[in-house]
Amino acid sequence: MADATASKPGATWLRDPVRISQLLFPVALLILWQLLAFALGDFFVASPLASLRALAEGAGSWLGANAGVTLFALVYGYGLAVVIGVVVGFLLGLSRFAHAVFEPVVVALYALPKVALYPLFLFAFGLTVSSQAWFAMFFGVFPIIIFTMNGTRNVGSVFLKVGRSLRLSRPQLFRSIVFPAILPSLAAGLRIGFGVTFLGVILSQMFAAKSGLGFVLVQSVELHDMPTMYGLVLLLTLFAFLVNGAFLLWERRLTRNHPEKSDAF
Amino acid sequence: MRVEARDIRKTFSSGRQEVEALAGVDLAVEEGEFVSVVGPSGCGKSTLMEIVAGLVQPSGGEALVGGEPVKGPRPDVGVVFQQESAFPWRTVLENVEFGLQMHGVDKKERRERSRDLVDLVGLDGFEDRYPGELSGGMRQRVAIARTLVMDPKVLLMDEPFGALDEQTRLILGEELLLIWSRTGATTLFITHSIEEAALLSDRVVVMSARPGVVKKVVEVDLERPRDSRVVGTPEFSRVSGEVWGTLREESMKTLRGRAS
Amino acid sequence: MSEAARVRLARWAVILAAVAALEVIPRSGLGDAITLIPLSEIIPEFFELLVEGEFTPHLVATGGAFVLAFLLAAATGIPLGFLLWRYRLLRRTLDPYLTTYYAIPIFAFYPLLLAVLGFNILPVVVISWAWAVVAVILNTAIGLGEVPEVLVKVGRSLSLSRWKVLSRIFFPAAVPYVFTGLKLGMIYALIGVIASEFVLSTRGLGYLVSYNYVNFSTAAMYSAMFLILFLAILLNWTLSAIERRLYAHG
Repeated sequence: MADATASKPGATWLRDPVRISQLLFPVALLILWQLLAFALGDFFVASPLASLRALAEGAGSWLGANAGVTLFALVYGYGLAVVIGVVVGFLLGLSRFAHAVFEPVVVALYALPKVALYPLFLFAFGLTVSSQAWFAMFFGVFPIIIFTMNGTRNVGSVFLKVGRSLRLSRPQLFRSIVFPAILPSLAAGLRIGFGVTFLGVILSQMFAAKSGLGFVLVQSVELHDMPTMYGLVLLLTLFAFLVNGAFLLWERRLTRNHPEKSDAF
Repeated sequence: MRVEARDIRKTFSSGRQEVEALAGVDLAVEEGEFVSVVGPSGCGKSTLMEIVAGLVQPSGGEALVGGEPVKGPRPDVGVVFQQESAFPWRTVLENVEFGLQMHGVDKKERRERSRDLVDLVGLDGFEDRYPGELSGGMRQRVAIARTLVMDPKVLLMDEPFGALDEQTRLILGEELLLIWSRTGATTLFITHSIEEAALLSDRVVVMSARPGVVKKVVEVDLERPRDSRVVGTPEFSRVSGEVWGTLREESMKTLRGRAS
Repeated sequence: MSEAARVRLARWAVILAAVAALEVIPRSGLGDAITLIPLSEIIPEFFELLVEGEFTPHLVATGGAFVLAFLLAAATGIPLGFLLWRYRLLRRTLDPYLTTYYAIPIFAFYPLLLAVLGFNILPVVVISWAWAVVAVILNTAIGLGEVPEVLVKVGRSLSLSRWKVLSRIFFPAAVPYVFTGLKLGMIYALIGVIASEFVLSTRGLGYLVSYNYVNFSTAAMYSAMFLILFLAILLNWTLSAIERRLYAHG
């Protein structure tokens, strides 16, 4: 049984020791970073300030175009992953037999080092952003399939019985019962799928590309441009953190009514 | 509206296995009556209810509601299921108005009717809460309200209080009687609790172990209106004793293995 | 036939169909877009390279990096996971960061490590460790929490010493859950090693794929891919079998 969800009033929220530690954690990391910069010198570690400056300078020149390419590949690849993943996951989840047959297969495929297959995408699409997008899709589609499949499978049969006893039409059953019931699992899958898709984009751009943030990262190694490298890593980390946070908020909002479900990671 | 089961049979087959759940059940619930069905686990009582509800087709025999054979779910038949069925993604009020919404009743009317029913089941003040924030008993009340708001002439309930503790069950049972007396619906109530059956019903039907048939029907001679205080009376004990006498035999058959 | 047997049969049929496709599609010309070679030609090439010892230095490099990364992840991950489980404040503080960890493309740190540590095995090990360790930490922390309290209560009711309760009841009960964390750690470590080698390295199976791609040695490239996938599948399958055994006994 759950209590009514209480939200802490403003002042108490800030005095909560957990919240304070959570806010201090990135600060601590920042300090650690700065200390490392002092200790190891700028040949090895660019200071936070230098990194931010490199980003700021780049904002006018290389950063915009390359970030654009990365973002484009990301949106393209993620869109593909979502469409394919949700449809396949849903279809597989509808049948208990199909679910039993395919679930271990999909999970097994998810656990493989798929990055080694990137050349296949290069053969198929050439050195274009499409190969990055499709490769990233190949990464992201698996968790989406798994979560959608399981979410569909786990729609409480009693909910469907209620729908049938109320003589709902098929579209009504889907829209007002099946879809809301699957949504929490779907949201978790979409969140994790995003992270993995993003990783795929970066990896593909690091391996073989003419532009994109992954490409810039690898280039910076050759030029030993530490401020750019650290700056980009910071940017990518923050971006991933924020997007994932947004997904988490959405997921939490959906599952506030299901107190027994916990976050996937 | 009268509910009747005529020689209902049901066999389930999965792969090469065949399970005969019901082997010819004959049962009648008169208009406005409250009849409970008790039986050992696996005796097919849920299946029987789902057949009367039109959710499952019988292998033989037929169910009739208001004299007409049951071909599928009907608007005048309301069902409350055993498992928790309040939709977690809707508030209490949104849950209750669900059926009305799906059948196109306009917002003002359905809100009004739903609020009335939320009050009736004692959940006033909780309209905007989500089921996840409520106790099990409250969630079942939501399911009951959702069914009752449709104004069914026939009410089918499959162990609606099954997951709850004894005291809560008795209290909710009392409340159910109050609600039932106001709606006058013909009610078929499945339970595994003898006390609950005796408390609520006009008649108690005892089913045999699988394959299920009606083993005995016990009349309950307790006056209405009743509340849970009848639990101590001699008539209550008599009914419970008679029910248990038959039920015990059938339950032991189930525990020992397959019945004949 | 029982349901479970039918499921297994169907699954094998699917897998065999996929393998057959790998043979048929290239022959029909449909695989030309990705210059796919039939499986029946990849396998002999693979064995030839294997026997000639072409794979050996790379197998050693990959294997070495993998083992190192995994051992480090286990050695650091399990104690840290234990601390997370033991100290709730720590767990609650780090919770949002740990849940977000795998959303961050850790591989973006790889170029950084190359610049700082050089083009050797160190950056590969560090990145793979970083990729694997959080999985170990989280699963250990969660797993230790999964041990039913009642088991500990039984031990204490038998007046066993604190240490006995820990070593004879708690830890054995926690083994399956901790193993799950280790299994994930191994899977991530392998993925990390292959990915780093592939992207930028001078040795290893991942590097071999990249090298053969760049040099248009398609048959050799597919052989290397085949080897990687084969080893990964073997590893995962073995780990899952052990895991199932542990949970069945636990």
